[in-house]
Amino acid sequence: MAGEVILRTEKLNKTFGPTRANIDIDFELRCGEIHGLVGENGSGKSTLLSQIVGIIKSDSGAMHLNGEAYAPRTPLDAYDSGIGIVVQELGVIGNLPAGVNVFIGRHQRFTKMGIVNTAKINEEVREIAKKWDLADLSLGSLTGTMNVESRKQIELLRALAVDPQILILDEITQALSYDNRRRLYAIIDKFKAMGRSVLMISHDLEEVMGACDRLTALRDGKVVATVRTADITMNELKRMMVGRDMEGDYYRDDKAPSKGEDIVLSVRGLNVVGEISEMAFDLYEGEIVGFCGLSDSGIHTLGKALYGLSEGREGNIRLEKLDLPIDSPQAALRGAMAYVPKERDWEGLMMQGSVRSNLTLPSLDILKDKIGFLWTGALNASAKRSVEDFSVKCRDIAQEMNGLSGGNKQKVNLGRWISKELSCLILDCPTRGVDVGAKAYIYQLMKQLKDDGLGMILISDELLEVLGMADRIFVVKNGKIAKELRRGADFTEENIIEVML
Amino acid sequence: MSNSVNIKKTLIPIFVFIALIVLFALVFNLATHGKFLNAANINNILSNAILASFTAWGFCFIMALNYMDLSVGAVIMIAVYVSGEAGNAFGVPALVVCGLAVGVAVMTLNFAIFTWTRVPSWVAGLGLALIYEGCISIYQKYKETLGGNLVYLDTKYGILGRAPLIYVAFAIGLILAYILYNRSALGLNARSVGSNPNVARAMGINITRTLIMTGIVSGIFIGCAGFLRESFSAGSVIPVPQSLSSLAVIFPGFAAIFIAQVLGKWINMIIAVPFCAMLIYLCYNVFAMTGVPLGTISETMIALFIIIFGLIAQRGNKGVVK
Repeated sequence: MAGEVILRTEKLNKTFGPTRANIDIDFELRCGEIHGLVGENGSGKSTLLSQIVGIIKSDSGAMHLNGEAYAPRTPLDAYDSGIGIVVQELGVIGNLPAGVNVFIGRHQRFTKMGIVNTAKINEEVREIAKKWDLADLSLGSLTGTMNVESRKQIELLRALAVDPQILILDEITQALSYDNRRRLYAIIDKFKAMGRSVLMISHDLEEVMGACDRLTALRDGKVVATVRTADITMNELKRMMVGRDMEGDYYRDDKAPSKGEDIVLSVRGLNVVGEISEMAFDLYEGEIVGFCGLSDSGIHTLGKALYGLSEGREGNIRLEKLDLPIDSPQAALRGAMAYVPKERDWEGLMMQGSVRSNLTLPSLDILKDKIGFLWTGALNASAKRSVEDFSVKCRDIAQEMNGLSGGNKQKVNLGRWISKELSCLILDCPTRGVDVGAKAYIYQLMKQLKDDGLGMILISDELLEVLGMADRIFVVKNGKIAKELRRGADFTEENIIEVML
Repeated sequence: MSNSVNIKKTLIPIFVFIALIVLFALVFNLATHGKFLNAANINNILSNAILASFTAWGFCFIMALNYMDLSVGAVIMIAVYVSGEAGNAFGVPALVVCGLAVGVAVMTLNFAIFTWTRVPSWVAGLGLALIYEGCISIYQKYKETLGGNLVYLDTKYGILGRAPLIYVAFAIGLILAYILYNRSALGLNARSVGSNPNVARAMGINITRTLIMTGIVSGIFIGCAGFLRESFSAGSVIPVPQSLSSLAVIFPGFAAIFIAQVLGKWINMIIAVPFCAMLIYLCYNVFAMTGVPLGTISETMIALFIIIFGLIAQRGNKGVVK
């Protein structure tokens, strides 16, 4: 019944070596409630979800589901208890077809004498997708060949396949583009209407404030407070999360576009077969040009194409000052262009590499001596300087990237470029998966780089981010620029969405 | 996507590949002045391709787990000799049962070693290959002390290595491998464990059980490769492997699986394996007919062929391919 407690945790604790990840967590989720978990990276949110779904075993404490003791040993126990989960720690199996992935570990009911009826699995997955109005996927394709967004949809289908009473979503929206986010919000609304519950983590505070009924803020592994969203302002929420006042807005406070005189990057007749067509624009010094559009609009291909990465690319991309055509990543590097891709962990960073290797990689040409030798001392000094300049929280520069929080990974991803003299910077979803503190830092950095005269391309699935930071916005639809908006009165979400849809 | 579209999507690449093989065959026939396309020669190529296919199918399961077992050639050779002894003593059923039993038992032992010692499988596999080759050498010496030679299967028990039964064995092997790899809980679990063991564990898949069971299944195909090879060579002695020469036994199967992996974008790997094996043996056959010395040179040519094939199939792929 709506309002009753469906899930309760009591004094949950979890320790990893010397780190106390969660300390005496008391938490309640009610029926028919959309509940958000907020906190900085490393505050213990994902650990708590992992404890709830049985990925991590709690050191002490208890959980109750529908008033009964609940102690899942694996995510399958959570599924069997009616909890559907999309969490960071559970991914998909790359070399299995998408449909099979939805029922991975639970294909017994499709199995007769050891033979799995994949046609029946796909049929059921299609029915689930139809029931929840999710986009069609090629269920026979290997999941490893799909993009991150499709993989997240498969995880969502897997969660919905148990017809859950509780749906747990850990930072899923940041992987989704505008249209698929709308679909997810519709699912969340449907859950609420059905008297079911959703427990979600998102670093997009506007999103959690808009979608959730109540929020629980965690800091350093402890619950700081649980509040109704109606009773709290955005600034109060930020203060709860970081433990200090976060003054002012994230975004730019000027209301008019500003740019230098000179063109930095000129793009003419850019085509990528099947993705984008006939794109043409100029980027000026000190200007931030934003691109937004739906999932299949081609905006993310644009970032790759500008940096010389996309296959089947035609057209003219030129760094005007250097009179240098950009037809490959090598040319882009020679022209001091930088590209921060959306898929940070897949395309941006070497996750098994050290902080030092990641920070120094784009600067090896500068760091090598006259005969091309790279001295350890020079590499260490450069990496240490970057760690300090960009406030990267890490044990030391030898630490593996895997061990860093999302925000600190992104600081490395961005910082390693910024430490060089750049001609222009392409940012694809630069704040994806980072917390409020790191977000504020990245926006501050962008403002500073703009003031220093750097031209930037900002591609984003978050409209507020583009509206908040760009001088001009190109709305992209079906691979073409559908509308150009200039910072000012026309800069509204409605104007963008009208064109996007 | 409708079933008919799926079937079309599956069948078209297979027909294209068959057409390609036929085209090769016609060209080879011209190059060899008509010697290539005669019944005996075709039967020889197909039989060799079938032997390589069983090895490759065994490897499909091993590689699904992200393992690499280089002792498989030596295991096949043990299966060859044991099934030969059993066949001579008790007839064809014993040949089959003992070949299978050796494949299953030794591959289970291998997987148990990989699983519990945690020594990387390719390292442990090399060591095991040397041990198994050593065992065969000891057995050979023992036979010599008795005044005999290493076993060769009596021709009358070699029916499984000849048409039509070798084709029946092939059909059974293909269906079994396809179902086990693509449609069985074990095949899906093995691919899950190989792809992402953490997710597999979290989703309730018993990792150890999956590893051992996959070892058993690969053992079935390796065992089949063993007794079919012995049947095919009935009446002659298969040389004893030493100093890792057993690796040569798996080379055609390996080559087939590498090409099948490249074709994986278009054709299911299990189905692609026999076609690829056929392609390999087409080349071997033509090399032999055109006077290319057998052994190192013909294998170098095959290796070049695989590389060229891979280059063509991977054109446009800018990523790093492992």
